[in-house]
Amino acid sequence: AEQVELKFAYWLPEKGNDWQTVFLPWIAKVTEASGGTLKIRAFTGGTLGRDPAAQLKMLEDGVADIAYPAPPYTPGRFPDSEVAELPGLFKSSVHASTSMWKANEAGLLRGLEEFKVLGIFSSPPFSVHTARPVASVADLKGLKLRSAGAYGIKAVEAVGATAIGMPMTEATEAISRGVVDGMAAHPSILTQVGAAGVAKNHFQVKLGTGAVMLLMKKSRFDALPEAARKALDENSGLALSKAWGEANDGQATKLLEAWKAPGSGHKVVEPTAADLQALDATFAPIQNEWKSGSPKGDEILSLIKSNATN
Amino acid sequence: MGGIEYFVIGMTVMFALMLLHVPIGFAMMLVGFCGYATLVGFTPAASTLMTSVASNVSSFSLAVVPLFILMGSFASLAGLSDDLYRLAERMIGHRRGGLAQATILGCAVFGAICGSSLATAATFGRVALPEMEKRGYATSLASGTIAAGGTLGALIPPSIILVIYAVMTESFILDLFVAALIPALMAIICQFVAIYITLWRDPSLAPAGRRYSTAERIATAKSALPSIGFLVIILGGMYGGVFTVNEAAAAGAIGAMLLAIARGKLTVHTLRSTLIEAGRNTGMIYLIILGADMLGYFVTITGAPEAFVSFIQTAGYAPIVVITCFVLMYIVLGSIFDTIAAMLITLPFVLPVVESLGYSVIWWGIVTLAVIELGMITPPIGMNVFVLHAVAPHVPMSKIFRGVMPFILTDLVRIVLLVSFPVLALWLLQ
Amino acid sequence: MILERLERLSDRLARYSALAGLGGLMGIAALVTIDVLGRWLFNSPIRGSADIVTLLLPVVVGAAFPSVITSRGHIAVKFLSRIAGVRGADALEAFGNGIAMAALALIAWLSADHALRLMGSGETTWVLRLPLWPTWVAFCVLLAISTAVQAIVFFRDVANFVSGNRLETSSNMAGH
Ligand code: NA
Ligand code: NA
Repeated sequence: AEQVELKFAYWLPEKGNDWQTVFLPWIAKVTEASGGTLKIRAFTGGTLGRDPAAQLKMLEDGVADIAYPAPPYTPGRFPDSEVAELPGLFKSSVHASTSMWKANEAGLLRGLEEFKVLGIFSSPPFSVHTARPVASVADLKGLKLRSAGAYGIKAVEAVGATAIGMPMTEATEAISRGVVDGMAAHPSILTQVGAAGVAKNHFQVKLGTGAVMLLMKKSRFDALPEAARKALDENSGLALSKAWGEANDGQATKLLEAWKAPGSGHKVVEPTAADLQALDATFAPIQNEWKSGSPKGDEILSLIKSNATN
Repeated sequence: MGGIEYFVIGMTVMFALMLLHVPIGFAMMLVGFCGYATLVGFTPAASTLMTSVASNVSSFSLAVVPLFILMGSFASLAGLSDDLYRLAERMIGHRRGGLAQATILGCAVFGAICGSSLATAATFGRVALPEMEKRGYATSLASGTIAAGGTLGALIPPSIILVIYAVMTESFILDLFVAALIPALMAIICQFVAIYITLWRDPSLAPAGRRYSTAERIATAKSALPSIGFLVIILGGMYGGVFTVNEAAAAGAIGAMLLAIARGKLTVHTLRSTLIEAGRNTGMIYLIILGADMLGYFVTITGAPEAFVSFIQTAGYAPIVVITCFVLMYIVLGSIFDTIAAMLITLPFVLPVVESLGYSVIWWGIVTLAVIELGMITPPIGMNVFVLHAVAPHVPMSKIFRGVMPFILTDLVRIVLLVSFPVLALWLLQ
Repeated sequence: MILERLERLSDRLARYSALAGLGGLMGIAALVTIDVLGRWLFNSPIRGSADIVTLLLPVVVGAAFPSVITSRGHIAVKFLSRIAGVRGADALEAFGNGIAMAALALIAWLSADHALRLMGSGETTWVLRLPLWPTWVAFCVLLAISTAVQAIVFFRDVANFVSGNRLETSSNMAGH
């Protein structure tokens, strides 16, 4: 059969963990399984388009065949996927990613009708990283924390901190010079933007996560040769979402272990049981607010909660 | 036909269009667009163009550019440049060539809040040229000093060129600003040396002036106090951690406007002309950036940069040879081209090579800035010289170019030092 | 006659547009400054100020374009005109401005499409959830104005070329 070339647009650098440990192997597996019907040409580092908010448009206009859009960059397009941003809901990236995939499979997420979803992923839960030590939830009061997204900001405000919106690329500079006290992020982001050198106190509250998706246009997918479609289907979906989650949890654990090691200069603090309980009560209204705006919010939330137990 | 051929054809067409008076930004944009459309298709090309336009015009990082332009214009309107020049003149103006040195110092301090070489040259063309001529300075020395001193407007951070470089290479703006500090100091020293050399060869070019009394000096310092206070707040705030670069630019624009109001310099008329002038400069710069960005997408998809990198790697040239070639290329481009355009056109394939040779992107930004600013004063196209000629039409261009020669020489020495010792740029970052 | 009247009109339009745009930029600067002061003095930044900036910036930039055009301020290499003679220089100028007009028309058309799509998809800003499309409708209108203004400049060049009149000298200074 004739070989089809798919352009895979990836706006992050190719050196990144996700690309190296998840997508490179995925490309190899899919190509192999397609029996020569597929070739996937990767454009990393945003060479097809740097703007994260434009990744969906690039898919729709045929600039790319496979893209990696992040819903938080296009607020309003995927209202149900905002569930990933809710604080206090997810225990890990595997939990968040597999929950999102299952919600998509059950048809609970609006906005994805035109797309072939190859995977939905969500990061490890964000925690708080600061220049000064934070020992308890009470210490968060009054801190200026960089955060983003409607629910990300609400979560930071709910714990008594002040949410500061600024581009991620400015966060390191802002922390190092005391413009802000810290940021809400997961460990890999912290190292990626270079903020791990200045925010060395890690308070492990579990805030929301950051979702990202691997999509094709449905019409493009449907037009592929049978063998190519089969190769994509068999190597994507739940398995891919799980692999992404594991890679991200693994990376986060590795960084946290390194920070916990004596002499690292870092300090990792787990909240007390009492703090965790208080946080549940703090975050409940935020979860309810999201639920009231989503027609299938109840179903999605109970899916996430039941997914946590298995 | 492979991607490389498309790249060569595209570049040839682009330069042809530019020669035929097509504005540089649109020549880059159309070649980028048509090239992309040929290689990938019309719809993807249209989509990429719109994405590029939309993300650049809504980029907060790029908005620093018009904010710095505004800050510079309002500061100039508020008389900040006059204050600085007057102060420097009262302190060192009595020496032989002292007014020229005072001009360099004035440009340097003004450059610490103004991001533009042209604006600095124009401002001091109005402020310092009449003073030097009145005191019997040779026109060539006086005008050459201002044209060269104007480059301090960009060499001393903040700098519009560095902001654009930071956005395009996704580096931290403040890192670039900090890296530029030692090279900026070197630039000031080099310009002093150039003045010494000029006067050593012909002392009659600059007579010594009268010495001011301490009382006169204190009075001048007092009247300059608001300007100095403004500088301390903005620079202290930016380097000292109260605000980010974006915020410093915004607060600086507002602060400079308030200073102009407080000094009664802001009228409906001056406000109008300041805003319109700033608007025109903003539009010009964005049109170039939009074109260069689209061209960049085309250049990347041709695969030419990768081919160029692997060619250089397999050829095994010593890194310093490659870097020297780039520097020479920029000196040539800078002589015939608009500086920002020269940087933006070449960045897609120069940067990957510089990175693959193991050099720092930040250091390369500083070298690029130095070389490009040299182009601002070299013939045949030296924008600073043109601007100065526009401000002072009675000074012939040939005279300015003659006066600028010693400065070009010391600038070359500085560039050789910067290329040989990257630590000059990187030391403060460690 | 008509051309002269159109030129005066477009000149005035370009000035007002630049004024409004840079006025908007001063607004952004004021907002950011108040945000900084609020954060610094009272630990209370303005909620969603980044959203307002996102919505205003494209309008500021778009509003700056017409004044570049009416002042013939495009950055260009005007090198051939020195050897091309008066008639040749007029022809070159007409060619350059004609191409510029085509490029501006292309962006205007693309931004209309962009605005329509945002209207359809309902995308909003991050925090305040304000719709994005009005910004892009405004940007599209400003680009349409820029195209029209560029067309008038182009017609002037053509008229100069046809009549053999001398072209007024144009400045091409950039703000750097
Ligand atoms: Na400067
Ligand atoms: Na030059």
